[in-house]
Amino acid sequence: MKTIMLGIGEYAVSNIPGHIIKTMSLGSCVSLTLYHPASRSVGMVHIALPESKINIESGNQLPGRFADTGVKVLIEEIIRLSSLKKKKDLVVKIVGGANVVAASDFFKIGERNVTAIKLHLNQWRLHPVAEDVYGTFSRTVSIEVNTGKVKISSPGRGFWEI
Amino acid sequence: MNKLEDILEKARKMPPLSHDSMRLLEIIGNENHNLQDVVLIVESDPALTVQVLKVVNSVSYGLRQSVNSITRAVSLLGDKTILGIAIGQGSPEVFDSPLQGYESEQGELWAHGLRTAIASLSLAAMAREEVAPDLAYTAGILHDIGKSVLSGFMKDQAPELIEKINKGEVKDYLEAEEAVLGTNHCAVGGELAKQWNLPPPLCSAIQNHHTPFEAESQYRHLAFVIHLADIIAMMGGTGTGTDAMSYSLDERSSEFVAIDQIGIEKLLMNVMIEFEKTRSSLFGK
Repeated sequence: MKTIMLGIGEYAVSNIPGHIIKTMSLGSCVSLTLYHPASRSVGMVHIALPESKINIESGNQLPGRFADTGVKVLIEEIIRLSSLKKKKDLVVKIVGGANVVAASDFFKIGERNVTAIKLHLNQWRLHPVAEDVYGTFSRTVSIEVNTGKVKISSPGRGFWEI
Repeated sequence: MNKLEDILEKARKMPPLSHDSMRLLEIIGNENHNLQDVVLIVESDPALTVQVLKVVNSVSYGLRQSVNSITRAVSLLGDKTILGIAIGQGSPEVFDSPLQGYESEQGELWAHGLRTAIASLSLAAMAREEVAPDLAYTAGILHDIGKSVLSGFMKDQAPELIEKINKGEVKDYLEAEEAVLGTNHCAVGGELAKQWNLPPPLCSAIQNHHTPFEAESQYRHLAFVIHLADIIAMMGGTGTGTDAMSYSLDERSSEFVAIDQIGIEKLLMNVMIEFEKTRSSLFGK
């Protein structure tokens, strides 16, 4: 068993049995996971903000930071790893995007992240089959190579799976 | 004794802030202070000296040659980072213990304070009335000290608090704390701050960081700065456990701090980068 820990803006793909990719304490950030069942390949990216145009240089350095560059880089990496022919075979899940308690949209970066990720997935004709998003709590999330299972935990709220 | 009295008693028994931290607070709070005064304090404390040299020589600062002089270390790191290191190290009962009541690990309260402090510096510059940056930074580090007192009274109770929020009985974690304990981490933090003889603006910011409009008018901008910085820290993933993200945004914030949607995104990213740099230099991860 080896756990690959992702910091903000990082991404990883793996097809090595026993590997787990994990990211801790998502607040308004969102984790996008991809799973290709036939080749048992998984990938995850930890996205912080909707659009790289607010800082192009930062997007070039760490494309995973933004939804537009992060979705693209993760899909390209998993295609490369799994010699994937049909993108529609990818199982897509998204987790995170919490917001604080607020009436206005002003601070809802979590929500804007989720919307942006779905928009960019749509450009690849991909759609999440499951999601665990929004709410007012933080999440830790992992994906396993062997099973493609996406497991979530949150302090005081236990563990669950999507 | 009822629970509230027990909590206040615990606050009264908390050890004081370290002597070095108090001296640094005093010195840095004086606009005309001399860097040499900070150097003298660091040099007189071997543990602090070791930690400061460890930080400045960490890879994050990317220096070609190792630094062995405290004068050089202090000028490279800046007095605010030195204060952050001193507070984190000099008050282990507060900043170096796990918060069991919040299911938060050792070091998380300090990391959350540090991230809030970094955000507070930027937000202070955006306040619609002048907010002293060093005051904002210090208030950022200290704002959640009340949690170190409350934590022991909430062991295993987090699911109960969360259920109250989920059922809509209370709107956020602050109200949940009040419902279960009869007080909240802001009120208790304010008490602890007064007991530590912190200056009035710091006491006010600690007490009002979730209710900034209730701060005395002369400290209200500072309270809004800390209120927003706390939220920015939680959004970036550095909260303190069960309560992370479960707080309310005061919708009047933009009347006190000039921030808009794009400004928040830029701030979130800059704080993320700066925090990772500081954290990796302190913890090597």
